[in-house]
Amino acid sequence: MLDARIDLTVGGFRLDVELTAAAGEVVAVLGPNGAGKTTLLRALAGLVEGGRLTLDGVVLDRLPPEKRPIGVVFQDYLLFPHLSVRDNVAFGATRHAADQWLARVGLADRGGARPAELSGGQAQRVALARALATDPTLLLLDEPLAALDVRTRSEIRRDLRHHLSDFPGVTLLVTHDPVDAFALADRIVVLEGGRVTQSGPPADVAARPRSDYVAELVGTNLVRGVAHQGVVSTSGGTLVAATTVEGPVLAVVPPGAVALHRTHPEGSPRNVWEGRIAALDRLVDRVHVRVEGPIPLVAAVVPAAVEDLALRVDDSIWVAVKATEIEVYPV
Amino acid sequence: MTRPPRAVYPLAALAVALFAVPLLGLLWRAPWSAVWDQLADPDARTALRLSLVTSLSATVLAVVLGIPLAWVQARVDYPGRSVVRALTTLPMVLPPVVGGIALLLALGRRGLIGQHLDKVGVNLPFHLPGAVLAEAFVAMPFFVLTVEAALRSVDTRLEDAARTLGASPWRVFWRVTLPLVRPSVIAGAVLCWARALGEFGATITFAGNLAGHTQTLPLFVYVKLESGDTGSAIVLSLVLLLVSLAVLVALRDRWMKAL
Repeated sequence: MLDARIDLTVGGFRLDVELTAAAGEVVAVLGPNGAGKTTLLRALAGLVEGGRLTLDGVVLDRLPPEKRPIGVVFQDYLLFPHLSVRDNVAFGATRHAADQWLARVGLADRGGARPAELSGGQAQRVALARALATDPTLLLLDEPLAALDVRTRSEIRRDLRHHLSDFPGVTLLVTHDPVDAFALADRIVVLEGGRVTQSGPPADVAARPRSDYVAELVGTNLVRGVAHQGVVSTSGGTLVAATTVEGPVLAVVPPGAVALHRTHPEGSPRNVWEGRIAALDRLVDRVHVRVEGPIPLVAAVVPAAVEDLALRVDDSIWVAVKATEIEVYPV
Repeated sequence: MTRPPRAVYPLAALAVALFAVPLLGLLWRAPWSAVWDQLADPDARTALRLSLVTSLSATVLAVVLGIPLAWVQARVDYPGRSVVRALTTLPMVLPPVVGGIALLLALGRRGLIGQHLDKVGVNLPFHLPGAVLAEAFVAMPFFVLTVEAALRSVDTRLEDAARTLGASPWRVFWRVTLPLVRPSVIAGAVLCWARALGEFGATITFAGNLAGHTQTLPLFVYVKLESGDTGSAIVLSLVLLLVSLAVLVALRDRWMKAL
């Protein structure tokens, strides 16, 4: 059981984070670069001072890093280049434990190798083995998959997921990659500008983003407004939504629910307005059309639709959104 | 890359000549047939032995004190750090004879600290330990600067990683930091030793020129030359030249990089 309140200022940047996690839980701290993720991790490890930290009821704030039951897998792994793989893993543990862990991560035959001789995926596994061999109660992972290429990444992610599910303690992983966060974590904590902006199970975070950053990560439109009797009023216009929520709200409009028309559409959609195409972003299987208007939205359409409608930047375009496609929830 | 204009090459060649010609002179006048006789001379051997003893002792002293100094200078940000750096680098640019006088005034029998040492029976000037001290004074900066530069280039996150694996700061230093800078420690020590071996000015001023006691090889060479025994002076000069050359060849890449 982890209970931490990290509060520190480094070079004018204030990090103020409260974190709790249960044993066996995997928490992902997700945030953009410069949000304070690595600083948070270093503070928990005791490498920078600031805040309080209890782990299983033991207060750790005043303890130096070497006295904390915390294992860390660093970004770039930081294996000791002058030691063999086995000596790296045995650095904080017994040789016996080191050999066991090397076998568990499938590298029993690489014990004599130097870190420089390992592939990225192997180095990642050695770093994990080295951290877990010390038998920690809290495991910290800093961007554990960021240094890997796409092909090894999914394989190592699967391995990591397997090892984390076996780990009895608390796991805290820091990442800027939503794929890693959603694939590995039981709970996601979103860190922006040194503060937690959202926290919850991955599915909830994806369905109900609370910041533009998260909305962009999960690829959806987030609209802020005030709801009254099924109408959400925003600074630019109104959205009719099938909702009974009242007061300040956030509304999610999935890009796939935004329809584009050359002429004023007839029919059932409650929300129709004319806008201007600001950008066309071609993705693998679809095109994101950014439409400026009373309420700026991104529409996702198939490439063929772009051809059929002859969509060009700066064109005028009609936007239609069905009221039932909009998810509205209190701020 | 732009090559220098043609006019530069003769000047560069002249610079090379400035270094090469004196060495050629040494080789040209060397009494090659009498080399072994000169080396077998008991006085020369004594001087050589004294030189080895003092220069190696000075190197050990430089390593034992220099590593802590380099460690503090590289890792601790304290007011006056640049003053300390200037102070500990000074002997590299100071005329060695000035260093010798300064040592004499500080540690001589009537010196600032020497007068107290004298009372407890410790006598540095004109004794072997004085020669060691004079050599260390002049040569230690070579070691400290080399090791400090290496310590600065170590990725301190590796030290952080070691801490999280349960290592105390001492253990981190012995198991991670020191092994990572080992090449530079060796390079610095060899450089320091070569400088100590050739030390003349500070040694003769502070430790004197007592044959069999403080007369190291460079001092012996000087005495031989003054007394007209050029053959012996040349042969022993060649010995010192050979050692210096061997050191430079052994360190050629590392030395440049470390400094």
